[in-house]
Amino acid sequence: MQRFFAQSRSVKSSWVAGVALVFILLPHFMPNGYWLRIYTVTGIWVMLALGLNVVAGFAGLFDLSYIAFFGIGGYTFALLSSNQLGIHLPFLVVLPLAAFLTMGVGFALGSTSLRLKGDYLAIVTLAFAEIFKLMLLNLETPVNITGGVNGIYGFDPINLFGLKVRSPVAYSYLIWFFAFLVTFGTYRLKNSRYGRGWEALREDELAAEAIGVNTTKMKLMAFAIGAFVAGTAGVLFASLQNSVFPNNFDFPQLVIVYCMVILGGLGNIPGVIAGAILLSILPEFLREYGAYRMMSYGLILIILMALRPQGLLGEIGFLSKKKKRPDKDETGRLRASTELYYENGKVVPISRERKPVYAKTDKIALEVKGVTQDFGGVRALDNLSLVVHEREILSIIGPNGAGKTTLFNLISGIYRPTEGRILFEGQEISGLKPHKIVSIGIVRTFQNLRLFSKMTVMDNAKVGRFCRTKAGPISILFHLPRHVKEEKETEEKAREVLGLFGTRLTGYRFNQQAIFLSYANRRRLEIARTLMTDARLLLLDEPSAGMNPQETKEITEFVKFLRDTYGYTILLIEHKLDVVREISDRVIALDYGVKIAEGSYRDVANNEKVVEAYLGRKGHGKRAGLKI
Amino acid sequence: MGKRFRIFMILGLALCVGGFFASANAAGLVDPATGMKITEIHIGDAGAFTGDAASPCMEIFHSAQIALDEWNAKGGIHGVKLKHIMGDDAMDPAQAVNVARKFVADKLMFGVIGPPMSSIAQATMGIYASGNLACITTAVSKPSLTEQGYKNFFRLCARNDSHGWNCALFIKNYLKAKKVAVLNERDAYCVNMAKETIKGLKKLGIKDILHETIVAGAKDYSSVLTKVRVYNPDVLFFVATTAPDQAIGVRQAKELGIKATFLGTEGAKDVKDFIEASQGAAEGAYVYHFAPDIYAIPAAANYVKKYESKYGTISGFGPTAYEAMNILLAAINRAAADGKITRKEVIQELHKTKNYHGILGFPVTFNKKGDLEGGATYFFKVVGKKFKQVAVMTGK
Repeated sequence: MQRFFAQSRSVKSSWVAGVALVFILLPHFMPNGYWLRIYTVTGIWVMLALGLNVVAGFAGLFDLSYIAFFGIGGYTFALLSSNQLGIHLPFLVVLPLAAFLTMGVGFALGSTSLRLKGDYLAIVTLAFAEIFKLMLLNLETPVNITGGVNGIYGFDPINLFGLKVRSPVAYSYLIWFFAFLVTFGTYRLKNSRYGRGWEALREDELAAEAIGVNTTKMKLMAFAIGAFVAGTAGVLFASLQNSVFPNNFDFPQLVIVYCMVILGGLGNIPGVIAGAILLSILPEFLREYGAYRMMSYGLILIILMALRPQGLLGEIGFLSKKKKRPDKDETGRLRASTELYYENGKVVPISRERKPVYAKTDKIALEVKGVTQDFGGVRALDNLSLVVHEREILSIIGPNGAGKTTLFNLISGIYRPTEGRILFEGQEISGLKPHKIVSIGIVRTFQNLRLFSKMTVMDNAKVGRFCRTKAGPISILFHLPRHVKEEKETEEKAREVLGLFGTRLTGYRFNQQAIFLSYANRRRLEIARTLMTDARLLLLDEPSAGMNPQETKEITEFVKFLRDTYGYTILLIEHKLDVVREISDRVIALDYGVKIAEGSYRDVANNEKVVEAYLGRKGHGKRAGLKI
Repeated sequence: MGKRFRIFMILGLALCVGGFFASANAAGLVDPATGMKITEIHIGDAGAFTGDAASPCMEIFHSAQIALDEWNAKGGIHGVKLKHIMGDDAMDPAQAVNVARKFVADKLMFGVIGPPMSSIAQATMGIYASGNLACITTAVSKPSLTEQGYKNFFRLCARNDSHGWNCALFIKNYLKAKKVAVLNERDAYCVNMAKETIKGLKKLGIKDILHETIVAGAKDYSSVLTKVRVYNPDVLFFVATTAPDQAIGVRQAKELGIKATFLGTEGAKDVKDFIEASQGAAEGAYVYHFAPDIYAIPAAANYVKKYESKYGTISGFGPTAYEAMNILLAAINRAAADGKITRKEVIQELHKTKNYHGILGFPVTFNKKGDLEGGATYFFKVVGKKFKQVAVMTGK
């Protein structure tokens, strides 16, 4: 599908026209009312599956209340356009009303359950769905609202500007029209900052938050958008059936929608559509066989999932031919990225046209004041104070367990300090959420690499831009100027930043998944991602870990280059003392959460306490020392 | 892909050709509207054959199948064989609409047994009506279904409101009561049941009625029952939903020395939770039920034998389905008598069903709405550890 969007405008529009023509003709070629009905209902299922795909596929939230949102839409329509309460609002009022009401409920449920993850979220949302069903069943006494088990029936016919929708053919057009809108909408969402934000959230929530994605908001948005689609589908469904009953919106229906999404491939839009179509037609062939129906249905699902665990169209296309991949040789063996890199026996020069202009100043950028961090009985940091000056490269060294990474977690907002304050450019940042701190100007990398491994190199970089872009769902869905401008700017910025690493992250690699990169390139990509955020202070947690000497040398130069040419302030954790010596303006040594030395590399390396921390207490009269 | 595609194509073609020959053999019925030859008569069976309600629905299906097999053994209708087609909706109204559309689209289909659930009947009856397809349901009791003017919808079971009238008849004519106490729970079914019964009693001339409400699940009814003792009625009608509640009711009534005959609801027709739980107090009490004691009806012996030899014990839903299939096929048989058949004719013939004597122990007549004339409510007496059928009331 990516290729589809890369096609020229005319080819694309002729595609769209062709598909539209097929769908315009299709209802008239259905052999009878039965198949027309299946065709129409498939449209509802496609909408439902695509809506769930936003929640479960894009954002990775295990939401079991989804079918209740479908029901809320259906019952809202039922109550507002029937004799049940004697309210007869026009369809064009009820539809948006029901959709936004459902969205509101989704928002409310989302906000109460956001701290929950995985199983716990599933349980809470399942409970919501059950409560909803019980309400439908029991709100018939003392005042009859939902009609209990007998439901509500006999609705006002849909009236669109005087055009009455009554016939099955008219319904099939109406429903597929909305199914197309939803398809179109989810495509636009997927290829936007929202889509990237959700994908990042699904891949690694902590990394997403630490790179500036407002994960709370994105989860809520996923919930709300999913609910919005489900609510709309509910209205159309209720009108089509001309009645609603509690067992229209029960657990079996939820399972079917999940099957569609999983069978199609979580997050893959054409796959989910294919799944919805397949699973709404398949049971029809088995309807005459009772108990065998469920068995064979189950069996078919099991076989399909065994053959394609990632879904019908998940990841690599089912029908598309394997693409020729430049990172493999003729025999199909994966070539290490270093092979490509060194293949001519020479180092590819990195384009750095700009001249170094910046150097350390004495202005204070970051100030850590008396910070203490306790984990239960363990004191990871003890009353630590330090200052980072603007455009300074400050290295933190210390043995394992000294509290270096804890310090990073505190500065980047992952932990809230037990005591003490942290100030950035005079502003208090302790206690703020990580994504907030990113937008203020501090961003970090992780010691153990936290890339979004299933996202492409390009998208990984683009996620870093999330905190600098503002386009909301309306802007994205309608491609308003703000979204278009931001997307263009994000793309340009990503190309520029990835270009800093020469050919390692550019060219065909733009569209390569991060998981296929070599270790060193992943480290580079993680740094590139941080550069996208426009932060002024970079916290680099062992950027050279796992690199060979050549690569280490290069990354060392690159860190220096970032300061010299772009003026970043850099706080560095590093174990390789060569690197520290090469680039640090200042060095701070930590041990057991306490600062034991501070100053130039030479001073710190010769400090007795530091030597002791690294090599143990001197004992046999022989003087130990670090290599200088 | 090319190879696989070809295999699919060949398989598809083979299916089409096979289907053509299978359907093209000659027989003796014609649809006058289209001139189409009817080579096989299809009877649909709509119900939840999978899921929570599968077991009663399968009993309906098997029982209807027995009736259909008997007709086929006699040579079918006008020389045309009959086929029973299952339409599983898994208790989901949306899927039931698919089933209805499928049945309506089947040009060889002339009648449907089911659907057996109120909500599903409500969701689909309009579609069946648009296709003029006759439906006989065997288990749907919600009154409003037959009040919507659909001509194609028949039911062979009593409506909820007819049970009330039948209970009044039973109290007056069988129990010969003059003074009645009615206690009911506060839920829709029980409130309605009590209301209809009291209305019926008044119509029958019994004016001496005590009406009180009780709370479901309360373990103690003695305060209300003390009132009943003071009132000293001939019959105590205890309208509660579950058997355990009614067991407590009958036991406490006995403990308080109430002499009145105890009448319970269909919920109480449970040996373990009513008879045994009452510790002997239920002896001589009566309950009503929508299903007959099929073992007590001689005409049903053949059906019972056939069913039990193949599928095990009958729970209560089967006999009506057997009867429904027979009534439907009899109507189709009449409609096909001239060698032509349309769905509308089948509906007309069903409306003519009058005093049909089958296995249910009373003559079946459909009224104008498609309801069973008078309904049918069966009354049982507790004798030892068993329920013995003592009467059936059909509105007269």
